[in-house]
Amino acid sequence: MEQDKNSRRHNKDRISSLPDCLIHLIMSFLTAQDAIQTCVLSKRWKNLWTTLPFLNFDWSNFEYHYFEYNNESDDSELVVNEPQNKKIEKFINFVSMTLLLREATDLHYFSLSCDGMLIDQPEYHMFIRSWILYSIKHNLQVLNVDFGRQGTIGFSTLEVSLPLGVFTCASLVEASFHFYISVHNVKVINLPYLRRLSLKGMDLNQDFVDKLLYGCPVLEFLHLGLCITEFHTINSQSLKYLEVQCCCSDGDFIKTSQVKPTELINAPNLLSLCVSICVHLIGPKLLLKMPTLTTVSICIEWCSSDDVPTEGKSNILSGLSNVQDLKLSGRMIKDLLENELPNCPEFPNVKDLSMNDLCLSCHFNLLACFLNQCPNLKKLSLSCPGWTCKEKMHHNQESLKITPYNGKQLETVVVNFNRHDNNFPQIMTYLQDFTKKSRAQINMTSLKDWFCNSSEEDSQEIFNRLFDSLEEDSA
Amino acid sequence: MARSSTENMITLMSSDGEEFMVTEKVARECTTIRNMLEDDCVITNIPLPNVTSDILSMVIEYCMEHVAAAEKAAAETAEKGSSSAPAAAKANKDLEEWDKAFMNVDVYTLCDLILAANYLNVSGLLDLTIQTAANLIKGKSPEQIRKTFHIQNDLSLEEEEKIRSQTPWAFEKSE
Repeated sequence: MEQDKNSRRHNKDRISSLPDCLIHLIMSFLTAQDAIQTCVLSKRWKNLWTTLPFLNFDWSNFEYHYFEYNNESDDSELVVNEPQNKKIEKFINFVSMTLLLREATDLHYFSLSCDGMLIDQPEYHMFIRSWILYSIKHNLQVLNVDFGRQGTIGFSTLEVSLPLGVFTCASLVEASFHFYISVHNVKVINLPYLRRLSLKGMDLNQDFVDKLLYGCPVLEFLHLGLCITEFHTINSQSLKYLEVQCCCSDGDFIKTSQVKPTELINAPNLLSLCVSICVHLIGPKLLLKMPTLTTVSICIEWCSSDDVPTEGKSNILSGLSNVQDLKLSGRMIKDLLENELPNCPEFPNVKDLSMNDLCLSCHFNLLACFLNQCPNLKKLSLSCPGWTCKEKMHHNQESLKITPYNGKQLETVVVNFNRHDNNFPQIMTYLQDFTKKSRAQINMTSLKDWFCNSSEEDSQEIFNRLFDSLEEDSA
Repeated sequence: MARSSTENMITLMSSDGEEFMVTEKVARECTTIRNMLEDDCVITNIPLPNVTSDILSMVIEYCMEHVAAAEKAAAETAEKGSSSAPAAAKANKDLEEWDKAFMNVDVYTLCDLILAANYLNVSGLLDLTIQTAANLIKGKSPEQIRKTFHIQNDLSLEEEEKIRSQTPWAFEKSE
């Protein structure tokens, strides 16, 4: 663009003349290690790190550097085989020295992510607690603690308890606590400015959840993931976004026998709810009181093939009558619909509906039933399950009696097919039949390129051919 | 003064005296200018003594692209009633690609853009430029960073050794 001008000043050092706050901002995107190493660049950079208000201690990055540096001196073999304890010691030393030697200026952002094996050794707990204690005494706004980050391998049989001051830190705006963290000792929670909170792999009881929601008056975003949920209600006036993931598909984090269902969510200001939950967590009393809710995603799974889904009816859909954007998915979606459709209210506000993981060739009638409860639908997205449906097709065109869809506003239907599903021409017939009263356009895409290498137009053409042949057969 | 009946035009003047006519909507992308406009709504000529013409033209280019993208998305949403996820994802990806190409500048210009984005308070551009600069530092050795940003090492060998010995825990290499 301005090559001449650029080349003239090409060799000038501009970054060093930026004000401290902007260099700090650049450093905020780096790990503490990368940021601190800049102290040998020049005199200008010598002390910059000591006032850096963003510290991001990342164990995996630490390992990477350690490996790389020793690689240069041909010691890589030695490093790889070095006992894990030595690595832990170096990490502990690094964090402790950094906090000890920095100036006593504000620390707005403190992030600590390391391996669970560090938590497995109780002698290190006091270090972790003292680091966090340091951070909350320096006007801390964001605190992230993660002892089970992705890509780490260590497991711990112990849990570390956070300093109690964390739960009364008046400056805190955002926090996340992930894995091997105990909150049983917490007595008082008062976080007046906390807006976002994420808890993962944590043993939560009703007492803690009540204290938490009561003590965080402006909490808007709450994520609960892989928690052992021994609580049964969520009551909050301020919550706007709630994500609950209590799905055990990911290993042994949940001892399923201990799990009690989340029965009641009472959050009058909630805008968005995302629930991914095992089927046996859904009690018959699950009730959602959320009049403002507009966006909902519900994923119902079963935990493993050994689990027998509990009998007893769930009651999820009836609380969602004001929803505009609804997404239903999970292996148990069929059971959910079968259970709840008979008593299901109308969903007059639903404009955008996604229904995934429902085998359309076997259970098209369920979909049709549900759609007829959504008269003002504009867009429908369907995705067939990624697994092969074991149930035999028990409907053919004659036996399937469905009421055609009456809504006038339906504009687009997007169908995402499973490449192993040979019944897709039939599903299309159902769909075309079903939507003939509306002027909806049906678009199809294939799940993981059904028609490898062919463009969308081509696949539409191939499909049309198949579809024509089907019509000829029936004629 | 106004080129179209619906949109006010505003003249931005760079430190070297060049004038840029932009729509009020584009100018409002800069929070600093937005605040000026809200304080005094009849203002039409804004001098920006901290930004040179070549950098200002880039900032305006960025703001225009992002305003256009936002308008396009809004128009699509209004037309279809609800936004379609794949189209929105594609538009986002296009804008990301544009941002990436826009960041294909030398480090001097990059630092000037950081200063301008900070002064004019264009949060999207500030994030983009800061992230780009951080990516040039991430995982690099001090020597590589000096080379990338043309930083003159004014520390003597002894001084550098002293710093390293004061903070040995930060330099596994020296152990």
